Amino acid sequence: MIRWIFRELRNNKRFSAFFILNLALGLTGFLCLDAFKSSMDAALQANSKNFLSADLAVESRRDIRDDEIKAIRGKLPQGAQEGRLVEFFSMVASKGGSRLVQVKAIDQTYPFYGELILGSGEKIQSTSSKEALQQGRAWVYPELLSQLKLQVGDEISIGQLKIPIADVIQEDSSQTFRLSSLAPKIYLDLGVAQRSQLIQFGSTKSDVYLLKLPAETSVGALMAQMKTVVPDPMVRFEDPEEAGEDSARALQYLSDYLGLVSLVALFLASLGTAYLYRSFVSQRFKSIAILNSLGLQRSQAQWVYIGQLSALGLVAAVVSLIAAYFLLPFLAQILRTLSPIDIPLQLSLKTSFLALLMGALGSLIVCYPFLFPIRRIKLSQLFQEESQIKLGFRWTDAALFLPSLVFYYVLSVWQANSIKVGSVFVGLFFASLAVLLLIGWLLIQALKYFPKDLLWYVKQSLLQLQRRPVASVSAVVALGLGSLLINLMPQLKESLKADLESPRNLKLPSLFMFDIQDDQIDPLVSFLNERNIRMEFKSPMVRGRILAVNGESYERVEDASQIQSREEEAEVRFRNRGVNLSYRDQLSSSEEIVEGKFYEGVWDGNTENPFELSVEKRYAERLNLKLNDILLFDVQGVEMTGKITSFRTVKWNSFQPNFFILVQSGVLEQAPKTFLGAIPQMQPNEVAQIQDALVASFPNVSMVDVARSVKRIFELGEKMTWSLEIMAALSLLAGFVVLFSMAQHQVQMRRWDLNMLKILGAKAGDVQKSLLIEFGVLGLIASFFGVTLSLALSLILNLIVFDGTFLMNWKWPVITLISVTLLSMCLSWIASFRWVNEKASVILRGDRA
Amino acid sequence: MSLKLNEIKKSYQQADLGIEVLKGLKAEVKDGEVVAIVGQSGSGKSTLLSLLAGLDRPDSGSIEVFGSEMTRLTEEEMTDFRARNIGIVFQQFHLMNHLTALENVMLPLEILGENEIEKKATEMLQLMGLGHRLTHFPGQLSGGECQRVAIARALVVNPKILLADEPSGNLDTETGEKVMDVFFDAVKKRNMTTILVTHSEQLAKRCDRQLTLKLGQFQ
Ligand SMILES: Nc1ncnc2c1ncn2[C@@H]1O[C@H](COP(=O)(O)OP(=O)(O)O)[C@@H](O)[C@H]1O
Ligand SMILES: [Mg+2]
Repeated sequence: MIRWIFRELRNNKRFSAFFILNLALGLTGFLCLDAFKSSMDAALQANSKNFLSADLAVESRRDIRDDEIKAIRGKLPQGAQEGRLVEFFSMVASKGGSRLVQVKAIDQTYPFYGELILGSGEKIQSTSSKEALQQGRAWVYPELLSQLKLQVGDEISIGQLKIPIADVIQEDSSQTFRLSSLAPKIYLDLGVAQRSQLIQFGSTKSDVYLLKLPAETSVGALMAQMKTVVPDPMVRFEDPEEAGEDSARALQYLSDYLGLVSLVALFLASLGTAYLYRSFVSQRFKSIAILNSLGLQRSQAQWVYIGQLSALGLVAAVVSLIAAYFLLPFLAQILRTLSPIDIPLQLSLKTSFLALLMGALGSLIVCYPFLFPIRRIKLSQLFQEESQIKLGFRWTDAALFLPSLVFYYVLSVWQANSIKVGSVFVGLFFASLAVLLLIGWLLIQALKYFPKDLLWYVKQSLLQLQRRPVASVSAVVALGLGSLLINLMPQLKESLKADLESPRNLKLPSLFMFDIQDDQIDPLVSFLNERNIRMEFKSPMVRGRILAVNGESYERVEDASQIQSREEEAEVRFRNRGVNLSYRDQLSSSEEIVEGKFYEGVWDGNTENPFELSVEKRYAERLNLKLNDILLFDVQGVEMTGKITSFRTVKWNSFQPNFFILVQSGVLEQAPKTFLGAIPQMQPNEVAQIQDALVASFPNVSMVDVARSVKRIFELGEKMTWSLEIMAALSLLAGFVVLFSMAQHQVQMRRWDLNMLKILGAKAGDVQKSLLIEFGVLGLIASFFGVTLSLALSLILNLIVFDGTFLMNWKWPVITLISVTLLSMCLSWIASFRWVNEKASVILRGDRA
Repeated sequence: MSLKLNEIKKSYQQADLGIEVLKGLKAEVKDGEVVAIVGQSGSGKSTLLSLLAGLDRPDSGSIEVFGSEMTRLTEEEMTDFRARNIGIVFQQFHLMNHLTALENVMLPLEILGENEIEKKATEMLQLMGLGHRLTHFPGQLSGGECQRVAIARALVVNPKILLADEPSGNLDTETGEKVMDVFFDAVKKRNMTTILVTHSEQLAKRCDRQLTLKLGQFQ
C-alpha cells in the first residue's frame, strides 16, 4: 500500500510539486514568525533582569516616602543590595539649541544587571567607577549630539547647571527592545542632580528603588509581602519579567499583528492546496472504484489517501523549514533596523515540531472534505460509459469544512494572543471572504449577459470563467484577499499621517508645554505676551487616583494567573495608574460632549452634593463607567467625591492638553498642581528661538516640538509597518501561487480543448489571447474588489477605530489593479504557452498521451 | 480527384531509434468516395489521418487536396484551409465540456467568422436527431449523443472532406451502429469525400472501398 501511495505521487509530479509549494509557502511565513516570536521570548527571558537592571524595582510617580522605604527594608532578606534612581523630563540648552530630554539620575550601584557601553568602548556595570558622572558630567544618547550638533566634551545646561558631555552611550541593555522614544536619554549622577535641585516638585518624574536580591529569594513572594506594607497603588512593584514585557510591548503587538497577516497567507495557501487536491482526488475516483472491485475496502482506500496527504504535508513542512532556515538571517537583518537588539533568530525544536504538525494535520483538515465522498463511490459506476466518475456535491459535505474553520479560529486567537483581537480578525476575515465569494459568484453569473457578437476568443474566455465557477471564484478570492492586504497598509498609513499632520478643523500648536509650576504660569504668560505670542489651552493638572466607584473599592488585581491576554494585562496596569485631573469652564475645540450635559457653574463645597465630572468616552468604556456613577478620588491625600454627568470625545491628535477626567470649578483650585499649555503655529526657526528663550528663563518647563514629534512618530510607524507590508506581500504572493497552480491545472485539463480549437481553425495566437483575457479578467475582478474592500475597511478603521479622517489615496489602488491584472496574465501565459503551441496532432493519440 | 497521396513517408523518433511508420503511401480518392482505412493497432492509421488533416507534415511525398498541394502551405494557411475544407471526427469526441451541444457546434462557425451561426448549428443538430438536446452539456449526454454532436460540429462548416478516426470505437455496438447510420446518411446525402479509419469489418464493408494499412504500405 505504501508503495502505491508513492507511485501515485510519482506519477503525478506536477500535482505533488504544486501541492507542496503551496503549502510550504504558507507555512514558511508562519514559521518565520513563530521563530521570531520564540526567539524574542527567549531573548526576553535571558535579558529580563537587564531591562530592569535589578531583581525587583519599587517605583512611583511621586517621591517614595521614608516610612515606605523603611517598611520595604524591613522585608528585605539578608544580603540584599539597594540602589536608587530618579527619572524625569527636562529641557537641556546648548549652543546648538534646546531639546527635551529624559534624565536618568543614577547612583554608584547602577546597573545591578546589564551594562552601558560607552563610545570609548568602556563597559559600565554595577561595580564600575562612575567618576565622570560624579564630577558633574553626563553620558548622553548619540541622537542628542546629532540633533543639537554637539560633540563629546561640549557643554549642555539644565537650568543653571552646566554639564559637560563625558561620552555617548552606544548600548544600553535596559533599552533593548524599546523602539526609540521621543526624548533622548542622558545619564547623570543622582547626588549631583539632587544637590543642584534639578528635580523639582511637579515635574513628570519617577522615583525608583532598585533591589538586588540573593539568588535563592523568591521575588514573587517578596513582592507580595512588600505590597502589604506599602498598600498605596501609586507605588508599583516591578519584577524583571514585567519589565521585559513592558519594554517589548511594541514589538509584541507588532508580532501579534504580523501573525494575523501570516494567517491570511496560510489561508490562501490552504485554499490553493484544497483546490489542487479537489481536482486530484476527483480524477482518482475511477481508480479507487477499480481498486474497490479488486477487493480494497473503501475505508481502506480512504486511509491510503489520508496517508498520502500526511506524507505530502510533511514534505511541505520540511521544505518550509528549510526555506525558513535560509530566510531567518535576512529577517534578523530587518529586525536590526527596528531596534538595537541582536535577537539570534533560530528555529527551535518546538517551532520545527509545530511545522511538521501543521503540515500533516493542516493538509488533512483542509483536504479531507474532498476525500470524504470516496465513501459514495459505487462499483456500478465502473460500468457506465463515462471515463470519469462524478460524485455529486451534498450540502452535508459543507459540514466537513467546519474543522478547518475551528482550526483557523484557534490559530488566530493563538497568534493574536487575544480572544478579542483574534475573533475580530476572524470575523473581518470571513466577512471579507464572504463578500469576495458573493461578488465573485454574482459577477461570474452576470457574465451570462455579455453581448453575443463578441470576437470568438473573448466570448470563449468569458464562457470559461462562467462555466467553471469553482475555479474562478477561488481565484477571485485568492487574488482579492492578497490585493486587499497589500492595499490596506498604505491606505491606512496615508490617512493616519494626514490626520496626525493636520487634524480636521484643528491647527496643530507648534510647542506643547508641561510641568509649568503654579507660580510660573503668570510670569510665563506675560513673558510670551511681551513677544506677541498668545499662550493657548492653558490647563491646570492635578494628579489623583480613583479609590472607589459607586462605593465599591477599586482594588488592584494582583493575581497574575487571572490575566489572560495582552489587553487584560495592559488593562490592569491602566487601572492602577493614577489619573490626571483638570478643570475648565468650557470645552476646548478638540472636545465634544456625546452624552449627558457638561457641568456649569462653581461647585459649592459646603453642600453634601458631589461635584460634577466629565469623563472621556473611551476611558469610561475601558473602566466600565456609566453616567451618574459616583467616583471617590484620592487627590494627594485628600478624599473627594464626584459624579459623572457627561461623556466627552477628545481628538488626542490635536496636541492640545486634554484629560480623561475634567472636574467642575471650585474643587481643585487649591490642590497642588502644574500647568500645561501650547504655543500656536509659527515658523520653524521662530519655534526654535522661542523655545531657547523659554528654556533660559523657565528651565524646568518641558517642551515638545509638535511638528518634530509628529515626524518622529511617523518614522517609527514607517519602520513598524514595513514588516507588516512584507507579510502582506507574502500573502499576495501566496495568492499568485494559487492562481498559477490553478492556471496550470486548468490548462492541463483543457489540453484537448485547446488543440481542438486549433483543429477547428483557431490560430495559436488567438487561443493564447483567449486564455490571457480569461485570466486578465479574473485578475481585474479580483484586484478591483480586493482594492475596494481595502478602501472600505480602511474607511471604517480610520473613521471609527482611529476616529480620524479618511483620505483617498489613488496611487496604490491603481498600481495594484494594473499589476495584479498584468501579473495574472503573465502567470497564465507561463502556465500555458507550452500547451498552446503544441502540435494539434497529439489529439489523435490522445488516449495514450 | 479530391485526394491524391504520393509516396508519403513518415517516421517517428522513439527513444533512440527512428521507426518508419509510413513507407511511401500511394493512393487516390475520387470526389464523393467513402474510403475505409483498416489495419491493426499501431499500423499508422492515425498517423496517416493527421497528415491528411494537415495536423502534421510528411517527411517526404505530397498530398494534394482538390488540386492544391497541402505540403506547400504555411502553418497559417494550412489552419485556415483545414478549418474550411476538412472536418474531423474523433474516437474520444473531444467536445468542450463547458459548452452546450449548440455552443459546441457553433464554435467552428464562430472561429471562421460566419454569419447566421445559431441557425446553421441548430439545423445541423436537428439533422443529427438532437433537436431536443441543444442546451445540454456533454456531461449530460450519452456517448452516442456526444458523438453525434461531434459529427455535427465537423459537418457544420460544410467541409469538402470528412476524416473520422474510429468514430464508434468508444461506443457499444448498438449505439455505434446507430451513430454510424446517421454518419453514412449525412455524408452520402452531401456526396462528401470521406476517409473512415476503423477496425470493424462491418463498417468497412459499408464503404465504397477499403484500404488496408500494413507494414507502412497499403496492401
Ligand atoms: N508523435 C509520435 N511520436 C513517436 N511515435 C509515434 C507518434 N505518433 C505515433 N507514433 C507511433 O507510430 C505508430 C503508429 O501509430 P498510430 O498512427 O497511432 O497507429 P494506429 O492509429 O494505427 O493505431 C505507433 O507505433 C506509435 O507508437
Ligand atoms: Mg489510432
